[in-house]
Amino acid sequence: MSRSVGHLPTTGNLDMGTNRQFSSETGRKLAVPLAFLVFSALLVVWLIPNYVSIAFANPNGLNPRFFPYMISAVMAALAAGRIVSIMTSEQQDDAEPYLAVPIGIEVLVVIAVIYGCYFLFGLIGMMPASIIAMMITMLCFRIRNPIWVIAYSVFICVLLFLFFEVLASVPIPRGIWLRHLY
Amino acid sequence: MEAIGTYFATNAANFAAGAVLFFTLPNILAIFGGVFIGTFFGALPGMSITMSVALVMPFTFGMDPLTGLSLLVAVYVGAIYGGSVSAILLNTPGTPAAAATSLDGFALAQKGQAGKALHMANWSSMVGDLFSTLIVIMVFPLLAKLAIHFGSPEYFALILFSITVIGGVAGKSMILGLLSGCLGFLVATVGMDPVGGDGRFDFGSLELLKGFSFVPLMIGLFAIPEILRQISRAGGSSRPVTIAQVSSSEPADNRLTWFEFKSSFRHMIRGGLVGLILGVIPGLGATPAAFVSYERAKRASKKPEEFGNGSLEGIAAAEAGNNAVNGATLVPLLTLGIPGDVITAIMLGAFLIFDLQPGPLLFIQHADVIFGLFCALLMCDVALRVVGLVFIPHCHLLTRIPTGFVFPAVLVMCFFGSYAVNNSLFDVFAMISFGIGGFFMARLGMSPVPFLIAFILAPMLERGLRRSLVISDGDPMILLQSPIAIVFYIFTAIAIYSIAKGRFRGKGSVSE
Repeated sequence: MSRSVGHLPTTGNLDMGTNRQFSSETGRKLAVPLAFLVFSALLVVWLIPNYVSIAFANPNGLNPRFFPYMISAVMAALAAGRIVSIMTSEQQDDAEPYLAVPIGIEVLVVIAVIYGCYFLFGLIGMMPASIIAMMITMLCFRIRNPIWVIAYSVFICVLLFLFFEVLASVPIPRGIWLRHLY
Repeated sequence: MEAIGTYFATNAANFAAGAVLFFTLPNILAIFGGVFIGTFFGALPGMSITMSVALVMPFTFGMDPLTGLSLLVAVYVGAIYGGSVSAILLNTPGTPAAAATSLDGFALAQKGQAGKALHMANWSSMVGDLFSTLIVIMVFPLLAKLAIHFGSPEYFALILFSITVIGGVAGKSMILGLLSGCLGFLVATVGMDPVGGDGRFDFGSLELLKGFSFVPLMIGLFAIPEILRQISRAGGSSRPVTIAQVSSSEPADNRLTWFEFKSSFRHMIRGGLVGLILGVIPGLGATPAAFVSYERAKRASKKPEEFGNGSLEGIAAAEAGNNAVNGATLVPLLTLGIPGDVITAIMLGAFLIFDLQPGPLLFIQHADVIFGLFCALLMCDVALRVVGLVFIPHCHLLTRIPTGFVFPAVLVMCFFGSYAVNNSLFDVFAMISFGIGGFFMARLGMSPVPFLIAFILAPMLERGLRRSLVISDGDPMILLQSPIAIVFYIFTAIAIYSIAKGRFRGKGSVSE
């Protein structure tokens, strides 16, 4: 019986296709703990010494860097543990990362729209930018009737604007371009 | 024995006086109106409980003190419950306290059983709050004495115990769950150091120096990944898709049976007890109570594998836990004059406006008003059920509307809600970024729940530990000198042992 360490075959019985498949799967799983290890190292070597101030630290207690260092150490230990468990585990890992499943184009569009909308808040205001974001998102959800898309987006955004601006007295950003219009 | 008898007789007499003062038409209308308003505001993501109570407060100025205070309490109770409605229907908790409810509530909504989940949330909110309020009425002077003994070392021990919750909600991989928790801890350190005020990871930005707000982070972690998941679903289908993934449901799917209620009842009572204990301690609030109660219920359940996949017991535990905090948070405020959180600080302001000074003298000078307020809390539970009966039959229909109409509206609600927390566009940016981060975390098999719990508890843990060491001039033995702290350390050890045992047992059964 052939025995494998992790998903890497120790015998030469497996053909090259399976070997490549196992390697890429293991590689994908290893990417996460390796990223955490690198991040922990970055924290310890660069981020904590440079971006955690100890100017007002109390000499009698723990200083402000204690917790970040501790978290980095725990994170590195867990990441190392994860690497060991991936390399030595015989059965499929219990977590099911689905990175292999591709992200649909609609999802990427909506991510871009959300960030784009955020940058539009300062220019045209929160309500008009939200109307645009909502219309594009509805199209990504395959609502094809343009009347519905426009009417519904305008209705919801105006309703939210009135609710927060008038009832809750929250000054909703109006943007530098359109602030005189409403 | 005689002293105990006198104690309860005095309590009963005061309660009767409070009931006489409370049971008037304006007070009862204030309760029903307040619960309705609170439920509505609580169901809107981003409309925090604090904002809901603050919005209603100006309307109370012209009212009789008990009516005004009853209205504020009713809005508070309604808002805590209301958070569960959007958590169940949209996987977007209206309030942080409802984040635990969404774990099972939304799964049931997807199965076409939103009505059942909403009824369970409604009943458990009512039972949890009722249970804790009754105990508060009976023993609140003793609870106040317990609260006053909570110094930094006890606080640290309690939070350490609460953090074991992460082990129970880590997801399929314990290590990935713990790594998610570490990220939550790390994100919580961004901003001002809780003891000395030093800047941490602020990179020269004033916004980062303030730290990340909890509500935008929570909205992002839950709502944005759900919106992106729903887009994937809609993109893969030629027909309009709905949240409910079954085309039709039986009427029984939207009703709660006596058997289901009965089998979850012990989780409601346990949740009530957890909420009572955590609520009495200033500064903890409803969110940790919901998660601790949820995790304890999962451990005690005969069907722990259903938790996270649509367990009614999970909803019962989380909702009972967060609603049981309602009465308990008033204990330190009323007896010691200590506001435990922002909402009780607003309540403190209301008391002062009505010329009532919270503290030990309040019970001597205005015992009838205080017991009248407890009657208001009990009446809130009745109002919760009535509001539930009226709205649940219609609410669950939301899961039958095409997602193309629901989730784009949720997205813009997230924009407005995140902004409204601090009137800050940075919060909107943080919400979006944590949302996209949460989406990729889920793709890597990392649950966002440990992240969220760690983010809430990390500042409390750090503050407790570091303040203890400052008090003791750096001597760590201060952490072991308090009997209360030692009890919590023992609880922590037991919790870790049982989580580890559960995991190994699970692995064993898998390999078998």
